[in-house]
This record gives sequence, structure tokens and C-alpha cells, in this order.
Amino acid sequence: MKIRSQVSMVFHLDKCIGCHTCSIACKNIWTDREGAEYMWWNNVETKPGVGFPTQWEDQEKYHGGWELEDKPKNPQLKLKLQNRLQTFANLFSNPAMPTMDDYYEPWTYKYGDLFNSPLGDDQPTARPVSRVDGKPIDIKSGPNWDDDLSGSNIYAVNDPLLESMSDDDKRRLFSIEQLFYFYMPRICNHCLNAGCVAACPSGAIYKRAEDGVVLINQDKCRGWRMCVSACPYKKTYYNWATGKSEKCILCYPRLETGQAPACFHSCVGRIRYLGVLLYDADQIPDAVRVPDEQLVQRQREMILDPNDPSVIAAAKESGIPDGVIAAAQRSPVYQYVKEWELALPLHPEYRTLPMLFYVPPLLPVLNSTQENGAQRVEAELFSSLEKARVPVRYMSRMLSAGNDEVVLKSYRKMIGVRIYKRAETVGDVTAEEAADALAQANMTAEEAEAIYRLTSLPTYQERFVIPPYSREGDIEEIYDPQQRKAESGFGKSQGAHRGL
Amino acid sequence: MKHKSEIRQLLIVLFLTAALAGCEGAPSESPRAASIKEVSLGNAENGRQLFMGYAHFENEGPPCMGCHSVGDNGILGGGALGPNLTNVTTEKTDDDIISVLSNTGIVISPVMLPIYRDDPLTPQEQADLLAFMKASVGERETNKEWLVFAVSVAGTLGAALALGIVYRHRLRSVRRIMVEKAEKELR
Amino acid sequence: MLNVLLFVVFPYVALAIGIVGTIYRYLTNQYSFTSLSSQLLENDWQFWGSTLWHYGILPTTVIHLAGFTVPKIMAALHSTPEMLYLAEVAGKILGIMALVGVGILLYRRLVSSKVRTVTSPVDWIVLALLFGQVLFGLILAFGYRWGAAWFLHTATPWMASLATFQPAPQYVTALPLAHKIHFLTGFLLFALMPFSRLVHIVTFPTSYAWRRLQLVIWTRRKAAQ
Repeated sequence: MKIRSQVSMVFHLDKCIGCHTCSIACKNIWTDREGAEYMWWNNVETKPGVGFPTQWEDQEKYHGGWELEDKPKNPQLKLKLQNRLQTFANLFSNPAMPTMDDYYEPWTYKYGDLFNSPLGDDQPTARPVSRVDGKPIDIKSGPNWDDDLSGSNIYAVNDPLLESMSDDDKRRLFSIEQLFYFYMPRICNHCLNAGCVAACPSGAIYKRAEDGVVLINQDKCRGWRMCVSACPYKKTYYNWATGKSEKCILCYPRLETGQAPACFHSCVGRIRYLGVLLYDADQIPDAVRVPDEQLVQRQREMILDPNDPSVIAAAKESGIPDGVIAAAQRSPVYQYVKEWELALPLHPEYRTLPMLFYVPPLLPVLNSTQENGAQRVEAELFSSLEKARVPVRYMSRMLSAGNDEVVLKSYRKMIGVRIYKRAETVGDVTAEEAADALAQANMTAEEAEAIYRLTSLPTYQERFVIPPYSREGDIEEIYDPQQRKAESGFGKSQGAHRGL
Repeated sequence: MKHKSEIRQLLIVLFLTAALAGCEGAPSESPRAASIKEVSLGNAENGRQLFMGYAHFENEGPPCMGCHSVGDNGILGGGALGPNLTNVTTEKTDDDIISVLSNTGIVISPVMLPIYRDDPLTPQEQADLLAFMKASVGERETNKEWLVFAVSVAGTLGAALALGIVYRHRLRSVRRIMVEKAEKELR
Repeated sequence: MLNVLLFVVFPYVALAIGIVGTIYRYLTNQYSFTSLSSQLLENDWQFWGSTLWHYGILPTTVIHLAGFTVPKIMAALHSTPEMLYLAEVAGKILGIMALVGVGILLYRRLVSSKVRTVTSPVDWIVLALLFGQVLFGLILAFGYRWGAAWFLHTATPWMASLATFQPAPQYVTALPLAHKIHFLTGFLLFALMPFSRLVHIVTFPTSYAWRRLQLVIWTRRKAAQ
């Protein structure tokens, strides 16, 4: 057993209000630079929607992630993008490289014109100009262009996930009282079997063993852009000004000083949780080769109980400091992912073992009657109080590689908690009904109470359990911190000027 | 040193270039011009074989057709770096030609001088070549430059076509195509 | 005298600048040691330009190097006229591919304002020189056939003489002007390597052929060492 620790994340989608504060916090700290304007290491998408970049979930187009070989006996995993030999053939023109238009062309406005225009009959305007070449542009897209289902007859209908849904579900998208949507904030998943790491020809991308943060060594990066293509979540970006790829660094300079990453810290809806997971790295090769419907369960099996004495002993053996083990024992992520099995990985079928987990959104109840009377999988499940707005098919396509039961289990618990708390605080539900809901979800009143507490009333310290890094000791041995003043950060020890 | 492999790669290439380049052999024997008697014994067919490279020079000198053309040799003709030699024997004396071939006389080609000083032609070879040149006087000259060019351009188009086919599934604009299609359907 | 300057002194100076400069830049400025891809900004012409160029120029360069290093083998490869024709046509196809490719790359850089934004003055110089170099290479190939044959007895002994520090410029000084331009531009490009994006040639990621796919690094243990 080779135990490693991973600083892992849970996003509670039921709490996300889609305010984009996380995106702005990240942008202001990390990507407000030439060449990085178009990058959103953190972005918030409206689902159904095409996302950012456009239709990133359609791997038939983007070729991200892994796939199992098409043979019945002992199939091996391979990058959907290319094998090793093809990598060399594709160096000169990456065949799966999104263009800037698939993200969006960043722009600013000529604000100076408002003040410096000569006297005239017309009000001066600030025209939009491209942040790339400075030319006036006609703005046609942006990082959240289809926010709140805007332009849904162009964008939401082209959501790649809708393919798996029934025509009736698709129709609901356009009927005003039945439509559903929710927000999905996305950052780098800091995967255990990352596609970007595997695809990098230069070997510049690596996972830090201490906390599992996936980073790109800016000195070793040669700008081949294979990571951009191989990441199924499209969370590595190519900086067109420096010729290097960049990605979310989970604000590791903040983590190392005991602060939550900026997007977590600034989250208005307090939907984000961060904590350590201990996992068995030896199981990775098997966990990524199970059939689609077992992927979530298999990934959970890899995650180990930090209170189990044998796990603790093995963790110490593997060089994990006591402080990290203690942090793992208090990890909210462990509770959501493993104990309660509420949070699910995004698109496990890409087989990268993402370590960011989502609690599926329950959304407000559907208050109109079901006039079409269509039979759905979830109809009986939510029959008593809740009517799910989001079709389970859609969520399972997103969070459990199509395994409805995994998502339903999570939903049953959430409904159980709701009914349980409603019986307690509102009283229009009887105790028997509440007990029945808990029994259906296969959980105890204590568990429901614990889920309620961590979901609704968590403190900062409960949401973010950051392990002690003790980096100050390591750093002082090598560098004089005074020398490092005014540097650009993200692993780069000089100003990010390209020069030649 | 963090990135040894790349430096190593560079050094290996440079070393190989230098080392292998140094392996060129030294001159094998001193050049000697063919005498009049030897010239008279020249064999035109042997000369043709030598000229075109089917037969090798004794001292491994390069075949003439790399740079010269004589009459109708080869489907695509001879070389064009040096002058066409089809009618050379009517314009130059035998002595001059032997002088160039042997690097010994007054008339000397500055391009051929270093090449055939290293790998000189034997008197017999000089005689055979002269005989071949004499026999070819008046022959129709090959000029297939257009054919070479056409074949090369066709090959390039073929290569481009192959690249286009191999990479036919390459990622092109997703957003623009999607939006244009959706807008068309809405109209 | 001029010949000694151009075909003895200049090549040595160019090689020295190229090698020393490239290693120096590698050691001091890893960050810039790449080509600056503009595929994100323009991807339609980039595919045709870059693939045609690289698939043309890489084999061409390798063949040139092979001509310098293993001339006997290269000579054996076209020992009969038929094989010579085959080698020549193959070489010319590669040359035209490279020329068309670099022409497209030049064109897209000229017409796309986004790509122009990320173009430095050195990029223009290098691109123009490469275009000229390939153009002259093709002029030699078509105008002075058969290069595959005479290359090994003019350029090769000259390069060998330089490599063994017994310079013999007489192998090339009598050649036509187009040859000389081609030779000198080649060395000029080599000298420009450390000052331009050409350094990306030595970053070819060979180690990807065997490295393990997932990289996990203990930064703390590494720092402690």
C-alpha cells in the first residue's frame, strides 16, 4: 500500500448562486496578465449549456482524457488524444488544439475616447477592442456567454450532455415553468491519473506528492500544448504571449501559508469545501480500468479511512507527516465523498480520477403538475414531497458515468435530510414520514444531522481544513526570502518576461 | 543539472557530425595523365558505364553524371552543375580534356580539381571517358527538367493530400460552426 | 582572402556563436527556450504551413547532415542513375514541401494581425532567411542537378575539412554564386539560433518515448537533499 495525501475539494452545487465571485477572485490574482486574459482557471458554467470552452464535454471533438482499449481481455488505458508515437508526429501542429475563438477573444474598451474625443454632436463611446491585437472587435462570445440559459436555443440545446436525454426532457428546457438549470463552478480537478501530465512531451507537468497539486514547471514547459488537448476538462490553457501552458495551481502559495485558495475563500454561497484525502496510489492502475458504471465506487474504494489504525501506520510508513494525517481525520471532503457518499466526481468516464467532487443540485421543487404524465425514473422516488427538476439522466451523465443509481443514492440522502429537518423545524411533515425518508436513504438521524450541519452551518475552519505544510522550514534552508521579493510567483523565480 | 538530456542530445549530434566527417580518406595515389597511346585504347562503352556510375572508378571518384550530361543518358538526363559534354570533343582538344580529367595540364576545372585530386582517374579511365565523349557527338541531348519539376510538384501535392487525409479529423472551430448552424436552423 | 573569410572564418565563428550561445541561453534562460506557438491564435493556415514545413525541412536537414557525416553510405544510396533519380525526386519533393510550408507560415504571419502581435523582429529575420535558404536550396536542386551527387564531393569535403581543423575552402570557392549563398545562409542561421526561436530545434522531446506517464514529485524531499 503506497499512501499519498491529496488536498481535495467538494463543491456543493445546491448552494451555488452563480455569482462568479470565485472567477473574479482568481482572475485578479492569477490571470490578469497579457496572454492570460482569456484564461479562467476558475469559471462558472450554467448547465445545461455549452460551457467554456464551447462544448468541452464533447470528447469526440476535443479528444481529451483517457479511453480503454477496445478489446475484451485485459484492456489497457490510453490517451484519447494520441499514443507516444503519434505525439511526435503531432508536435508541429497539434490536431486537437482549440482556437481562441472556442474560448473567446478577450477585449477591453477604449475608455480614453470618452474623455479625449473632440467636441461633436454625438456622445463619445468606448468601443471594444481586442486584448490580443488591439483592433476593434465585434464581441461574439465570452467565458459565460450562455449564463442563466441566455440564448438557450443556440447554446443550451447544444449541450453535449443532452444527447443522452429523452425528447421529453429536452422539451422541458423550453417550457417556461418546467425548465431547469444550475451552476457548475469548475477549477482544475488535480486528477490522480491526469491526462495533462501524461501527454506532456517535455515532462514539465507533475503532481506534488505532498498535496497532490498538479503544476506546470514553467522553465521546462516547451509549449507543445499537448496538455491543453489531453485535459478533458480543458483546464490547462496556453499563454499566447509567453508560449507556455498554465493552469490552476490551487493557490498553493496561499495553501502553504494556511489560507484557503482565493476561489474558496471568496465563495459567497460557501459552497466550497477543502480537505485532505488519503488514498492508495497502488490502486490507481486498477481503478481507472473498471467498467464505466463502477468508476465512482472504485474511486471511493481508493480513498482510505484516516481513522483506521492500519491506514495511519501505512501513511506514516509512506512518509506522510502526522499533521497531514490529523488534517485528513477532520476533512470535510472525506465526509462528503466517502462517509456520506454525497459528492461525486465530474465525468469519471474520462478516467483521470478527478479529485474535485460535486454534490448534485436538488433545486427548488417543481410546482406545476406533470401535465404530460411522462414516466421517469425519478418520478416514484420524489413522489411524496419533491419533484426533481433536473432529470437524473442528466446528472448521472455528468457525475457518475451514466450510473443512475449512484446519483439517486446521493439524492435520496439529500431529500432525507430535507424531510428530516422539515419535520423538525416546520412541522408539516410527520415524524413517521421523516423516519421513512431516512430509511429510504439508508441513513441514521445522526448522519442526517451531521450532513445538515456541514451543509448549512459550517464555519470557515470546518469548510477548509488545510494541512500544515511547514514550508517555511524547507524554504529557509534554500532561499533567503528577502531575495524573492517582487517576483511573479507560480513557480517562476524571475519576472515573466519572455525576451527574445 | 536539471535538463541534462537536452544538452546531451545537442552534444551527441555535434560530436557525431565532427567525428564522422573526419573519417574521409586521404588521396590514394598521385594523378597521371593518359598518354596518347593509352588514349587510343579507350573503350566508349566502358566510358559510358563509368560516366553514368554503373561502373566504379578505381579510386572511388564520383561518377561524371552527377554534374554533366552527355547525350541521352538516363531517363531524366545527366547533371547540370558542370557544362553539357555532348559535343565537347568538337570544341576542345583531346589534350585539354585529358588535362581536366587528370588535373595535370594547363586547362583545369577549379571545381573538379580538389575532387579528382583526392580520387584521381586512372589513364585507362580517362581514355574510356574520352572515347565515350567522342562517340556521343551529335547525339540528341536529354532535357527533362520540366519532367523532374512536374514529378516533384506532383509528389508535393501528394504529400499534402496525405497530410490532409491523415489529419482530416483535426479540431477546427467548434463555437463558430455550432453557432452558425444553430442560427441557420432558427431562421 | 575573401574566400578564407567567408568559407573558413565565418563558418567557425557561426558555429562557435551557435553552440556557445545556445548552451549559454539554455543555462541562463530556460524560460525562453522555446518556439512561440501561435496555433491558439490562428489554426487554419498553421496546420498546412507548419506540417508541410516541418515534414519537409526535418528530413531535408537530416539528409544534409547524413551527407556530411556518412557520405559513403549516402553515395551508395544513389550509385546508379535510377537510384539517383529516385533520391533526387524525393529530395525535391521534401524541398518543395518546405518551401510551400515556410511560404504559408510567412503569409499567415503577414496577414493575421493576431499572429503579427506575437512576432518579434528576429522572427521576421529568421522566417525570411529560412524562406530564402529553402528557395536557394531548390534553385540549386533544379538549376544545378544532380545535387545528391555533387553535394558529397563539394560541400562534404569542405565540411569535413572544417571539422578536422584543416580548412579546405577550395572545394566550394569555385562553385556558382547560388551555392555560396546557400552555404553562407546556412551558417548564418546556425549563428542566429541562440538569438531566435530556432533554439526549439534542440528541445525535441525524445525522452517522451520512454518516460513514465505520471510524474509525482516530492518537493519537500527534493528540497531537503
